[in-house]
Amino acid sequence: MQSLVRYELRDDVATLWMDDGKANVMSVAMLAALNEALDRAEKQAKVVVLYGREGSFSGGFDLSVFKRGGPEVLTMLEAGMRLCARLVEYPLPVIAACTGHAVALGAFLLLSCDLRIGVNAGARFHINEVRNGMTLPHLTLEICRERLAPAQLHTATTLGLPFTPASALAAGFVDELVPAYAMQESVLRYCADLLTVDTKSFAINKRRVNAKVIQAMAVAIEEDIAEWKALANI
Amino acid sequence: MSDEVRVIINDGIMTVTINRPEAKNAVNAAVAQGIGAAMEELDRNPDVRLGILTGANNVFCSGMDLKAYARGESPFVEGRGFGGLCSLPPKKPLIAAVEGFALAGGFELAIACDLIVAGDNARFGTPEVKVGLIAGAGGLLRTSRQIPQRVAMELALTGEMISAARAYELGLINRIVNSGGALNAALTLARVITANGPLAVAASKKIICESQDWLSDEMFAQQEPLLRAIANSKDAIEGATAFAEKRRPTWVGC
Repeated sequence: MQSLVRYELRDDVATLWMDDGKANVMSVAMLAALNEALDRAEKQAKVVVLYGREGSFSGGFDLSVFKRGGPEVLTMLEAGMRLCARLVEYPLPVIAACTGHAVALGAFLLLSCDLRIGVNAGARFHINEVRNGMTLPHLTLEICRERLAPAQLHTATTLGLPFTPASALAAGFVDELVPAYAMQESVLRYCADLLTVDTKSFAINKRRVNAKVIQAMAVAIEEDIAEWKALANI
Repeated sequence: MSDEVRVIINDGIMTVTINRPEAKNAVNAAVAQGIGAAMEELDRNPDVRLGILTGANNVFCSGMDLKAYARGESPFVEGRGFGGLCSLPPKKPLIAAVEGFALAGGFELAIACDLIVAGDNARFGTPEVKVGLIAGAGGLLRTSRQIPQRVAMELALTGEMISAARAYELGLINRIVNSGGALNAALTLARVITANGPLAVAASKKIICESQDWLSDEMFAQQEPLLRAIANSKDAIEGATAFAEKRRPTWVGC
């Protein structure tokens, strides 16, 4: 099978192209591939770009795993949460190139990145857990609270309302909207800018700015795991 | 050609740069002649698909060079008007990449282009009335066709400048990017256009421009010959075939 994440290193920029040929679901394999690519980037690059595929950044967890059940569910859930936390703690700047829909975990991964560029059409931002009868993990809410505007945090999470590119910009899902054809140009521009930033001071500052949410996420993931285990035993 | 207008052709895209940063790229005779010659070349050279007009040193153009004008230099080109562009824009698409000021004649050069991409520091306006003049190179004629009349009137009567953000809100410009990024953004936009069928692009521009003067009950009849020429072209068949075969079309331009 073709790799789910294509890794490209050029001029100190590591680009991680997520592409499962469909909605970019976060299966155990996809999450592992992302972690592997982040490991490499941490050693080789100064800036990381997380790129979706045309029409989809990520559709969130692989629902077929939930349907099948078994121990893989817990593995996948934990890996998804830990990846969000990793991006927030990651020492390098991570740019998200949100090429399309960002749904559920796809939205949380997006929100975990440092700079988020979205396409101005053909993208839906949707924290749809409540619509699917699912509970939002504590960790995801810590990220939402950190990154989304207060009023929209409520409509996005509690009500599970979908956001258009324009309303997503106002809510804080993305920092900038561009036409799809200009995504690469925009990403390159930000990369060139971020490459001029001192890597060491960036890492220290990012950790300082994110200190509270990192701490909160560490507590949240323990709660989440305990909850999932309790549910699995029932 | 003088250094006051630089012309570079790359991948079918002609970039025309007004290069008088010491005068905020004001239009003197050399600039007007240089742009005029470039526009002629743009339409004549079959290897060139599209033009970009920009200014050196983060300024688009501050208008007519009044000192040169006082010396007797003409910023007009016979047949093409102010700046070698305003009265007769080219047949091929032209994109303005605007940083900093696009004022008076500079504004008129920008709005004579088909598309405008601007850095977020760009400012647009026709301040002619402030010195007792009018924007005679298309500023009054084109603005009211491109943005709501009430706003066009405000620009003309007050002579006040507007920001890139306001210009975007009005639909006067196509994209705003961080300052310094306008030329790159224009190139990105240009590549999207040059990937399309050349005949179809040319006909689309022609119809949008000329139909401004067509009457409602005649406009479809007037469009008909252009439509038929496109439908019978090799490129139309190539475009459809390539789509069906899921590959990129290879245009032949006929």
